[in-house]
Amino acid sequence: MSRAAVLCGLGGWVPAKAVANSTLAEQLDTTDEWIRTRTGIRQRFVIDPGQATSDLAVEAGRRALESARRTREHGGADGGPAPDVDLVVLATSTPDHPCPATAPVVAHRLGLAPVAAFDVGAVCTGFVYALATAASMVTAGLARRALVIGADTFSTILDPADRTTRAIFGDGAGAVVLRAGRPDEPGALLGFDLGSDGGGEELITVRAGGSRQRSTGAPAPEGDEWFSMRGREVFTQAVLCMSRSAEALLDGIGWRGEELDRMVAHQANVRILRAVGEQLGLAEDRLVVNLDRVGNTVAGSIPLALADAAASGGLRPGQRVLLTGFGGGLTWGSAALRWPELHVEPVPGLEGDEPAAAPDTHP
Amino acid sequence: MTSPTSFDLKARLVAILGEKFGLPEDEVLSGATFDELDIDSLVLVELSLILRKELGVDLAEGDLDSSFRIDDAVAAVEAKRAMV
Repeated sequence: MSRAAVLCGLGGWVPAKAVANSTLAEQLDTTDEWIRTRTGIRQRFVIDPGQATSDLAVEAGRRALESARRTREHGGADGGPAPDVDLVVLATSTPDHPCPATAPVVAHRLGLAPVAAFDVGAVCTGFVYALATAASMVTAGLARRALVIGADTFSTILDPADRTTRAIFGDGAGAVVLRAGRPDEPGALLGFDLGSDGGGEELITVRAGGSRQRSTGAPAPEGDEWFSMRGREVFTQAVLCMSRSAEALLDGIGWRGEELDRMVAHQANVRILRAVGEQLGLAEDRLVVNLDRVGNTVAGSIPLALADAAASGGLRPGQRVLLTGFGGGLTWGSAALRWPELHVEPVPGLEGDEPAAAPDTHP
Repeated sequence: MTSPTSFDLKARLVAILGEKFGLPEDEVLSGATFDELDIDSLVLVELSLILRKELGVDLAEGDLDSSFRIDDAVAAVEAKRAMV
């Protein structure tokens, strides 16, 4: 029997400070209704001054490792002997520093050093890319057990005066543990579809701060240090790329769209999620939605939504689950698995606040 | 002169705007622009995506404009269909 990477642990984390729409409305020319109807978002979380992406990644990672330990104890998806994690892959586009990567310090703080550790950058698709990378390394025998984290702190790169991006993005992290196993086990990653189109680089970007601007020797033009996004074009591309990627993967692994129990798409905007559902012919109850309470947490988004849904009963063992993401690059990617038995703790700050099946965007 | 095809297309557009976006048929047919119907900017993006799936027309961002009336939108979609 061939070897596969199997999901055996899951955790999520958001910082302590929640920012409600009403708070943004006090600071910017916007309203709670405008934000809710355009995006479905009610609140987002932001880090405190001095905090960094690794702080969120460490907490999410710790919880995923604990989830794997408890799952194993309860004889769930991880019933075998327990080799230690020997690989950490972190998806982020807001690293603690421009150099070095953030994954090594995350591994160190989790007590996992001297394991292999590196960052993967694919913006909002980062987690799917990191998952594919780690799963491939597990399958190839380069790692036995991998911690895969998606974490971002976009609050640190948003223009404080930009009412649109500040409404959409929040800080957060999620993590999974993968182990070597068999392709016919629940939790086995059954396939991936990945793609990119650098012709769309300008749609989602921070113009300054990299080698292109720094090599000029001149200060960055005003505003270029902040994140920018061409919203309506991104909306269209996000829907088309995620739908096509999902269809390609479903086709590749032999699942029909109507057999899908849950789609966990990158939590960009509830109207994007609905439009993807529409393109794929999925009923709305198949869509996992938690962006109403966390906003768009970039690379953290998919694993944070997974942890939130798994802890609140929105994902159940045996379900056919599709993950799909889209982000800057442009990049996109999808993965599929049957949901395993997992012990997952509620995400602190989100517990007891049930995910809204369908936030109302039509007042 | 409205061809039968564009008549069907107009009926389909009116139906989508009603079912998906809650716009009353009489208001859509009143000759008001999308701006005057008070829809938000994402509705035309969402409508374009639905039409792309249903009709296979390659509507890009900006092909449907908020200054359009329903007949302008039908003409824009017809023009795209003719290019297929």
